[in-house]
Amino acid sequence: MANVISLRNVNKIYGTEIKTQVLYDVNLDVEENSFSSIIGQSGSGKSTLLNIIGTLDKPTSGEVFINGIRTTEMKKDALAKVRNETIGFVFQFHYLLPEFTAYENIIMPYRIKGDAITPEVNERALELIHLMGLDKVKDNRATKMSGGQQQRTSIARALINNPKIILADEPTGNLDSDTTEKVYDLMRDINDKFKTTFLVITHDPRIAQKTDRIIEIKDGRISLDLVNQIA
Amino acid sequence: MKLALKIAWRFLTSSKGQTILIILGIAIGVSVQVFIGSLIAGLQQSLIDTAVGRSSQITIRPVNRDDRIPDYEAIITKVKATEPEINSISPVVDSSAFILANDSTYPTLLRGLQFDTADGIYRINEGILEGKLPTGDQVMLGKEFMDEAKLKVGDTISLVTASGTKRDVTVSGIFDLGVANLNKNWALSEMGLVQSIFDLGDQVTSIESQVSDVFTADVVGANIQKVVPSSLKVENWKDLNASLLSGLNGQSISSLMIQVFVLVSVVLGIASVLAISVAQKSRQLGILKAMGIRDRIASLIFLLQGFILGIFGAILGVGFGLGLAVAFTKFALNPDGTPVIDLFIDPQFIAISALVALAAATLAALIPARSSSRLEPIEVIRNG
Amino acid sequence: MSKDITKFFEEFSGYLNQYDRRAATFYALDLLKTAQVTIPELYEMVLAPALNSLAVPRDQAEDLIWREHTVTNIVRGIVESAYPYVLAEKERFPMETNPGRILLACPEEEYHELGIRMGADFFTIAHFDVVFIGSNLPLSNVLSATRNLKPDYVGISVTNYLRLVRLKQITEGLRAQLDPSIKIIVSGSAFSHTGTSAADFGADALINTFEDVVALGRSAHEARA
Repeated sequence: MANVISLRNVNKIYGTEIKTQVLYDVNLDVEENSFSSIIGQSGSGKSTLLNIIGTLDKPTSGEVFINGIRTTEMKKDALAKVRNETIGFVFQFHYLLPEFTAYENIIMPYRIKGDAITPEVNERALELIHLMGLDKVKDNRATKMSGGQQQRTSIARALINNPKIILADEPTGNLDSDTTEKVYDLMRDINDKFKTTFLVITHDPRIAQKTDRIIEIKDGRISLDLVNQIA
Repeated sequence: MKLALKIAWRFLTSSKGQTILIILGIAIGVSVQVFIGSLIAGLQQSLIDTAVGRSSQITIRPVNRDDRIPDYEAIITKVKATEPEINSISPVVDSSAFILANDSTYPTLLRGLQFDTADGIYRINEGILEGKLPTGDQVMLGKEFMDEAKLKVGDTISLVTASGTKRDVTVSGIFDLGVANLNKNWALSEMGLVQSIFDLGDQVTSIESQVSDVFTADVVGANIQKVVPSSLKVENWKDLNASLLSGLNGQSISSLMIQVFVLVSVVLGIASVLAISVAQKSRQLGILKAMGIRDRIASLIFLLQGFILGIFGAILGVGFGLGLAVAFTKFALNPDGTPVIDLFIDPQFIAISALVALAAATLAALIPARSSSRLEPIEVIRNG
Repeated sequence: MSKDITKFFEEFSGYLNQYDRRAATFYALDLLKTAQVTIPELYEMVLAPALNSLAVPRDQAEDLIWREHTVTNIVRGIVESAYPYVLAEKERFPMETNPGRILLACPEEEYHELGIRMGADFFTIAHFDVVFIGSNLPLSNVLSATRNLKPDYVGISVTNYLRLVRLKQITEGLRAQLDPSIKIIVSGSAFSHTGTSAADFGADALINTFEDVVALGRSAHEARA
């Protein structure tokens, strides 16, 4: 299968006076429609890696290809377009816009894309809301929802533009175990249903052990890369 | 654009307290502008009105004091043709005389007027307290004089010239031109009466006029000087009232200064509050940027916030300012019930004040808009 | 013989499928008693395949885990009851010398220990001096057990592939903190599932069958000779 994410010799060094190297020559390929987890201790560089893949951060050296396109030399606006159309983000702290309702948050990436809201998109948003079990709270402001509802809202938001890739950084990080299971199952369903590629940072073994591939980052390097070949 | 507007609007409406505070800030600035501007304009208007409103602003008279102007009709026609700024122009025959009434003698300035044109300058019709305009052998006297000489309308008095000529006339009415000195010293009559008493034929002593913008009197005067014979000189009120003018000028400058400082404080207020709001909204901005919003749209959100605040602030401010002005004219009154100062409400000035505040608010939003464009989403994502 | 074993497997699976502990246990122990199978044959060709045939596929609902636990407990009881036969087989098994002491455990949060429990019996038959610790052993305890028991081998079994991460920590910890040349052997389905080898985790050998155990014992003997 084709690789939707490819990293070639990616290095990341923070600071100019005192240099801290966070990533060392990382090479990574992620296949289309795969569901992979990234594990590692805090400070290992896993979040930096995810942010670089998501074009939120730039590598100090090396190349990043998203869906076959080299993003390392792209201009800010072009990167914004890649983020908007190819990548969906799910973060630990939900990062919903508190001024907007669940529905408005979910549709926001589509509005950013700049197209008029068609009945089809509205339909899709409502379908995602239904899939995430948010029907009752769709018109609530983000602040008027539970942690699990907020996280499911942010997953729906990540999916609205039907991106090829979902990058999730501790998506269940501050959820209880029942909600964690639900959120994981949802992501897995989406992985099957929409053929979306998932790359998920997690410290939760219940999540990691169920993913197809475990990538362990240690001290800025990929220390283990395990692919579970038995489904 | 639509998205930026929606986000800007939502940002403003979701922190209502803060938004109302900024709008009030702008509104107070604008209202102070409108009020002070109107007050000072009104003050100047009333000062000028008192000083030169009921008087000749440009006067054409012979260079030689004892000369007369024979062809005044032609001159008036010519002046009107060259200077459209001239509102009213009227020939006058002035002469000193004495009034003999109830066995007392009073010195007076006998003014022979062409009432239909002179009304444009002196608004005599408005000032008639009793009786009517004089015709033929009639004169009209001022309120204070009538009181002093204990006369009433219809009484007969005698006009005596320095050379001893005496003419009996009747009092046709009482005028009040708003200035006690004039009411006491002026006797008004038709031009013909003065010309016949002093044997002047069809000559006048001066031509008086008013201009539409009093402050252009010197320029208009200079223009007129070019078209009248060199035997005539053109005087304007500005040359004769230098101290009043410098007072007015000072007032204008201080009014402008107040307005500039109010504007500066409005701009600083909006800029600082919006700068804080960028900091407050940096998380939201980071999220929007992570979702792929372009920098230009992100900046637009803050510019539009400034614009929206400016619009509401300006509308509210104009309302406040006018309200304050109306209250001032209603409650700050003279003992006789007239307002201390008649405010001058100039729609153009108010529109400009509002537009300047709007422009200032938008401009003030430029700084936060720029900093919002520089914000990198990773800063927000990395720091939680 | 192999035809018989297929029959044993099918019959045993039938009992296990019905969660019939009594029948399954009697049937398996009877096979040993009547010497129709050896311990390795019973474990590798009857018990383990029967268990695996009942394993819950990952994508199926998690509410079927009870099934796996029930049959695992039945099989564990059989394995524990077979110990006299294990010792008897050891007596009969030809092995020149004792290959040394082996410590058997699973990494922290690895609860699948039945495989290595069976392995313990294989090692016993092959004349190893076996210390079976079992499931869920944190790195610190792997270190302290090794320090106290001074084994020649440390055997770690991993089923859940996420625990391979901990395996790596264990091999690194043992080599860095105790003995860089300590023999570490690994076992479990996680390796075949991920296509990895012992060397990928800094271990010395991957052992999955009785044959592998015997080979290890023999090589230890040869190395010493």
